[in-house]
Amino acid sequence: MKKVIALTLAVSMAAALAACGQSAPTESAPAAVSSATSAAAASSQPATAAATAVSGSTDGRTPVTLFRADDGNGAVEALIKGFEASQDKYSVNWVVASNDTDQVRDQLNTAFLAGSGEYDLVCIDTVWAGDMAAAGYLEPLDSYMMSAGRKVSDYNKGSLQSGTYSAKTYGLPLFPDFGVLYFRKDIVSQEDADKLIGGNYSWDDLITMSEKYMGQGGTTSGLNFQANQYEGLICNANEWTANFTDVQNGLSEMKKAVDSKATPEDILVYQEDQSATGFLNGETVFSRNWPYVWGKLNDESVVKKDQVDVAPLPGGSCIGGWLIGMNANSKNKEGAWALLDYITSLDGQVIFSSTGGYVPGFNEALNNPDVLKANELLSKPGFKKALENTIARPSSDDYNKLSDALQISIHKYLSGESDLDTCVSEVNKLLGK
Amino acid sequence: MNKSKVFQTISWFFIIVFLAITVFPFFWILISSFKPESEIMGAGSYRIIAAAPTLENYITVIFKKGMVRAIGNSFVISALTTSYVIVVASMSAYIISRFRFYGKSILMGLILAVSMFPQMIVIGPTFNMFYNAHLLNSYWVCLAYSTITLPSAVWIMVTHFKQVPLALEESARIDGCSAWEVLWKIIFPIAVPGVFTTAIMAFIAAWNEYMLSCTLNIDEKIQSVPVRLSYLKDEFTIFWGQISAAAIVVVIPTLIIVLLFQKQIVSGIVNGAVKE
Repeated sequence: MKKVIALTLAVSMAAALAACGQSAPTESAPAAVSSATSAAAASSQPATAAATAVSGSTDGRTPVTLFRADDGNGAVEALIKGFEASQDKYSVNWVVASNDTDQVRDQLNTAFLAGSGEYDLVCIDTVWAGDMAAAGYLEPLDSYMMSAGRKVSDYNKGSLQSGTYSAKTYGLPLFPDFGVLYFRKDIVSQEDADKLIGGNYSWDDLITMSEKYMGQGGTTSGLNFQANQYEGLICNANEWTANFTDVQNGLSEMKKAVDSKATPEDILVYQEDQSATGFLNGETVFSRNWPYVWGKLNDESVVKKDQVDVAPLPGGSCIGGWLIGMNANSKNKEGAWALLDYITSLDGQVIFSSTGGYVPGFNEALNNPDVLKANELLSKPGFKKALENTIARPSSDDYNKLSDALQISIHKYLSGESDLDTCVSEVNKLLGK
Repeated sequence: MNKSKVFQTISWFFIIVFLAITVFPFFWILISSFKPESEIMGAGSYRIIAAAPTLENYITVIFKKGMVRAIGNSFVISALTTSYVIVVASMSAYIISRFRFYGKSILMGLILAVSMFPQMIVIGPTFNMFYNAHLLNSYWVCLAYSTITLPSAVWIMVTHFKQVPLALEESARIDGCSAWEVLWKIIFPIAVPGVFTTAIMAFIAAWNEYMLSCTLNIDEKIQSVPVRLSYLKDEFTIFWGQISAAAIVVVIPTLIIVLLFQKQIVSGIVNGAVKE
């Protein structure tokens, strides 16, 4: 009996302590964060030590560390080779980042918060530039660009715009990505196909066409896009509302599409993967997605390349893709800029795009024959048209929060939990209109 | 008699339903690992045996995605963590179970409380410490792992050490053993089943750990299995075939360990069950 009482006492005590343990850290968390930031400012000495420990490679070159995911197509390897052959001062140390975008952001933020100078160059998603620049993690690039003679007009417009925060450039495009409409040219009539490729159609026309062609050629649905509650919803809403200029009409069209029998019943949980699978397996006539789907039209897919064409989207094509930024705590900014400039200018972009089949972010590279050969999409009129009209997502110094709030509000409306007026006023308020 | 038959049938029914539910995901992973990517989703996805079965997922995972090295890393890290935790936990458990001092139960509560901190809060400061001490991307991650494994290890071992009869220790003392010798020569060997349970639990916790590993060991060369698994996707696509193949490849070594030590694991778990 005594033992039982002792045991219960011990357990309850432990629980009480654990409860204290739970509440204490929540209070001290901000303190920990701020102390980490101040430590970041003060801790340049150990970081320097780290830098000297790392440098001193065998062939006398100073290493520049690049943090970028591996897309498995040899493009980064080719870039590194090209850079190391182009000069003899620096070598490249490539730290392979995860392909999971959220994980990369967590890893970067933890490292930046600690004031780490571990990575000289970091690849960031287009929407992170605002947050990271506002927090002081990234080095403004304008003075470097000026002395190297680079102009803003040299780079892809939408992509560069997303790397800009309070009138300074923090990231240059590694490659731009943007939404396009894939359609089955073996199903759609020539007349409609011309209309689509020329961009002479509205969202309403697209819904009508989807309903018309649905069921032909073995398809079970007409149109799919990304309507799950996640970042992709913002990209899609951005396109439907023409860069949030026409929120009212855009969202009501989007809702019309969701409710239409031409879209899959579970469209509200669709992300890129589901949309691509549906299109590749020949289940749908129209599909909004990123350029990567083109590469998946191969021997394994049911639908082949000669059955497919690409069209621009009515409201403009939302920009995605990746930028390269420089760590503000880098100990080797000269070397970092040398590599950054190489990657984002003509030579690097030609190598990177022609090896990996990307769209180059440096405009001059768009006409390079190797690049055109590697990326069949670039010779398609519909794709070129889409490239001309790219739109960035709303920028903010706390983009994550803004995006979350927008996603919730829009998804609620699309799933029928709130009405159009509520949603439109919420969205406008969030965007400060 | 009739009643027990009915009871038996019902039990069997529940066991089968339960097994079907729990085993099904593993079964599905196994068959998915032999399917080409195009058959995992879409119309052909309900086939048990793929129309075009392939070993490509296994080949990719083992030879191109570095899963073998990740398994090796995970083994080294888990084994180091386990041995380190066992040594530290036996010493502290001995002190707690045998010596009298004030605040013993508070100490035990504190130890347990440490393991209840949400990891998201611990991770930032841990990264800073590792960064400033230049311990990132190394096997030193074991140190960080002890925050999740050590507390429960101490608790389990205290219970086991308390079961060892005091008389044994007293006679050892009379024969001239020091406290140190008593611990390693008398108590530790007797409490081996408990030690085994603790070791297995520490090993599994370290083997499955993701957060710390993904933050502290970013370099490809030192990544552990769970982190490596998360690399099997690109920006828009999840390679389910490869993930399934990797899951199977990763389970095999752990399965071998469990089969080899089955007896010890079961006896260890049962031994801790009854408090005498």
